[in-house]
Amino acid sequence: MNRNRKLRIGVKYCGGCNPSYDRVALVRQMENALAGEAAFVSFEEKDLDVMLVVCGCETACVDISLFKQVPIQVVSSVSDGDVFVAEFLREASTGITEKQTP
Amino acid sequence: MSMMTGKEYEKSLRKLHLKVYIFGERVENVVDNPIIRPSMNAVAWTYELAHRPEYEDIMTATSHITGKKVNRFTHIHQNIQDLVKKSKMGRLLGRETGCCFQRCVGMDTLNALSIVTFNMDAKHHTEYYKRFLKYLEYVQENDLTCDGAMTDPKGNRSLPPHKQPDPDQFVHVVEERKDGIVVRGAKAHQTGAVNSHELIVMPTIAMREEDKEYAISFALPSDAEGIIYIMGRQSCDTRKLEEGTLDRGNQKFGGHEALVILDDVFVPWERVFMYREYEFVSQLVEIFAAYHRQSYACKVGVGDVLIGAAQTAAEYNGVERASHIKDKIVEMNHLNETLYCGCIACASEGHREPSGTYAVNTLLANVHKHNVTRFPSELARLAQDIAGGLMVTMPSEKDFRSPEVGKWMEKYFKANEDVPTENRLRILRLIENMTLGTAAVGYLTESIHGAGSPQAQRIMISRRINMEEKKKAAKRLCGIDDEPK
Repeated sequence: MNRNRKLRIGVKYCGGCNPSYDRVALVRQMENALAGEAAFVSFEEKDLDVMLVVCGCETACVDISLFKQVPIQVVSSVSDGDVFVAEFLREASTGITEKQTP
Repeated sequence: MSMMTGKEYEKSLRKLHLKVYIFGERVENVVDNPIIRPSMNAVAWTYELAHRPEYEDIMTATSHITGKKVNRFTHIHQNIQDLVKKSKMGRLLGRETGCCFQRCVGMDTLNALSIVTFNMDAKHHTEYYKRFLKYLEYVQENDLTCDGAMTDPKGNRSLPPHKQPDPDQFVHVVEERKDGIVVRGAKAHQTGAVNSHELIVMPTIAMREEDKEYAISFALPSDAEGIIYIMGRQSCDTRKLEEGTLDRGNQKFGGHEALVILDDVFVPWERVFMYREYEFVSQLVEIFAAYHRQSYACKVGVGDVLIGAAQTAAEYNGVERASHIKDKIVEMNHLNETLYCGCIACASEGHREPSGTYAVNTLLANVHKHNVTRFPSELARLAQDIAGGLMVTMPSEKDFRSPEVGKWMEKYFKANEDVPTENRLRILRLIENMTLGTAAVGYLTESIHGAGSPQAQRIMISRRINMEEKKKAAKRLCGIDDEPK
């Protein structure tokens, strides 16, 4: 992980069949909270530091087996997003969490 | 060409030369016709969402023939997950549009043909499957909307096709040529027909050898010479011709149906997928019907909108805390989520066919659609109950905007003082639109008759149930042992 640049967070959304919150608004909010620390890009881009899987409900139906190359963080609620931001900021100086959420 | 955007789809329709009639007159500009336009918007939305990162996981798939990303509406289901995503896509688009988005029937036709053409080739050593795959690649590469045309007018329902006094009551071959066939007949109730690039025709009922001239399936460009479209009416349809838009309810989207006439239309052999194989007709009809009954997942999404509208109306009326209102909202959700259970279950319990295509569980798909014939009517009744009588008695938008009488509507239709009167009128017009206006065509009557009327599902349920096993279970528990030794 290159700490001399902004961390690149790949964003993969679930399909949004019946989300319990506004997933896009949450990502925008996270992006603002981490401005200067991280860049939110498409999951299809290269050189990602972490994959953020944004699910509309706790079913979290996205097939994460496709993203084996990078640490994965699944959020399926607004509070999950808040936790992600808080942990990211806390660990920003020492390196991003590599915890994988199944 | 890759997946089209909504704009590109609209542009592609402008290149078609469809022969469309409405109110007795030829429509010169189909795309911009105010009656038709909302239905085009709904199909365009199926293209648009495929490009949005927050929906692409459902709206797109990977083609099993090219490996490219395709719009899910052109995809052949390769596993259970594909079937589940199809149901979820129905709910998503139903909620996004609040109406019939018309594109599922083509997807269901392609999937049914992928199974049956393979099976016909296995028995008769024909080359339908090869033809079909070539056609499928064309559809996927160009991201086309296909109208799956099954329902013949049927004439006298007690008579099979070959005994009809008018032979054109079922689509049939009138001439066989070296390079193809000439077909004649009609298809009724064709959802989204004039928003389609392609028309894929299938037979509508099981057939015997005497009916083999009617045992045909083929694809045509929707503007092929000899195809005529006569638009179906919808209640309140001319509100779309009025100056304002408030009285439409749904501001952007709608559905449509048309009677499609095939007046001696030529079909080249490479677009023929069944010709005289009468013994495969019932298989094609049943597989298509099962897929299409699953597709009524869309009504769950439309139900989401209606529930949201009913709750909003209750809040605007200031009655949302009343216990009977809360209970009715719970009942609406219970009915709607029960529908969702059915469309997810028939997908989750799907299976692989010899062609590799995954098919839904036929019994559960029929149970799901049978619920759809009933629950939306009850949801509509509850929504009207909650909304109150104003949804059908309020004056027009023109009155509301009138300098003379608008102030009286503003004053006397005010309920919750924090809510502008116009918002109250808007939510009531949406409920009217969905429960007895243009969108009720799709949400109510189409829910009853689309993909087969209720009795068709009851027949399939009786055929597919494992009754002997149920009897054995009952007998075993009460000590009856009448099994042959």
